[in-house]
Amino acid sequence: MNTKHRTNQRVTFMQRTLRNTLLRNKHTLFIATVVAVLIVVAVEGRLTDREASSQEFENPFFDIQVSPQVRADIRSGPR
Amino acid sequence: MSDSSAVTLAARRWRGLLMREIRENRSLMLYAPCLLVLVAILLGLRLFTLFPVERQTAAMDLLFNRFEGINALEIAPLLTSAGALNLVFIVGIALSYLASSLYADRRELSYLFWQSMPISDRATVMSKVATSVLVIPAIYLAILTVGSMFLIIGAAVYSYSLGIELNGLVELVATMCIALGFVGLSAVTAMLWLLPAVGWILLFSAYATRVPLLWAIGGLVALSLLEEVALGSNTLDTWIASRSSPWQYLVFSLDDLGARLFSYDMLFGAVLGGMLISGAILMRRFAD
Repeated sequence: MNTKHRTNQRVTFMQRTLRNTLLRNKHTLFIATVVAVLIVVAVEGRLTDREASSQEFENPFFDIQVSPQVRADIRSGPR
Repeated sequence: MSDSSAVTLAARRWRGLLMREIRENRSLMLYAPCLLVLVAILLGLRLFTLFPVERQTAAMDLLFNRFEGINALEIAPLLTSAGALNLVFIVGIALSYLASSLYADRRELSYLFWQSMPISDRATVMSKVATSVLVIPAIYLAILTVGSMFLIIGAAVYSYSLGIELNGLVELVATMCIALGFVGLSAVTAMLWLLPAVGWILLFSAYATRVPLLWAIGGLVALSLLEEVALGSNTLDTWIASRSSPWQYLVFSLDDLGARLFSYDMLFGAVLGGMLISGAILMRRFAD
């Protein structure tokens, strides 16, 4: 009974603290959300050594096999 | 209240919430896709009519007889890649809807009415997420399917008038249906993949006092530049670039769909999106 009462008190204290800090107005909530997301992105990026993959165009349906001669012709442009 | 009646009530409530979104955004969700599909079809027809009749006959012959006896699943990815442009429209419509959704509620003060109803802020915001992830792709796909059917029927009638046999018509229709299915799956996968963007825009829609889409894009660019200038790093840029390849959400077969939906990147994106959406839900408690 005593433990339950103490837990309830702790939860109430946390709720009150949150309400007085992060949930005080829309600006603090907005900043807290953005900062939390940025921290998660930064930590995850550091942990996983994330690299940009936008330049990878690997897809089995678009493997175009072009002969070296044709590729050279394309690069040299119209004659 | 029994379990079944509670489920029925929740289903009716969700149906009402989704119907409300469709009704309030008819022009964006119904008329804009109709117009886009119509313009695409008319543009294709205009290009087709530029060719002489002999070339048109050859093209129609190729279209209706080349498909005879082929496996529709093998050729469908080719049509899917041609239809991938529709993903740009779907994502554009969804993001523009999200930017205005919570903002419009605040501007019209209709959120006060909805908060007086027995519907939680969480259900209201989640209905907007469900609309962007499921309803908008479904409506667009339905309109695209109807447009494609009209196009094939028109092409078949024209080919018949030119004396072309329609031997591969069934295979062509089957290929088109599979390709449209892949486009639909790609659209839903793309929206799930873009959950961080969905959450980001919803957060700004709940926060900004005007032009939320501009603030959302401008805020992201500003944060990215600030990081480069102040910290000399490019974590944010790298994170965005690592999720920008279209191959991450274009679906060409069902084999790897499960692996894509439950991949680490997809789940991590869902976590970030969840954080931002939670922020948007909490934001609704503050009046402007």
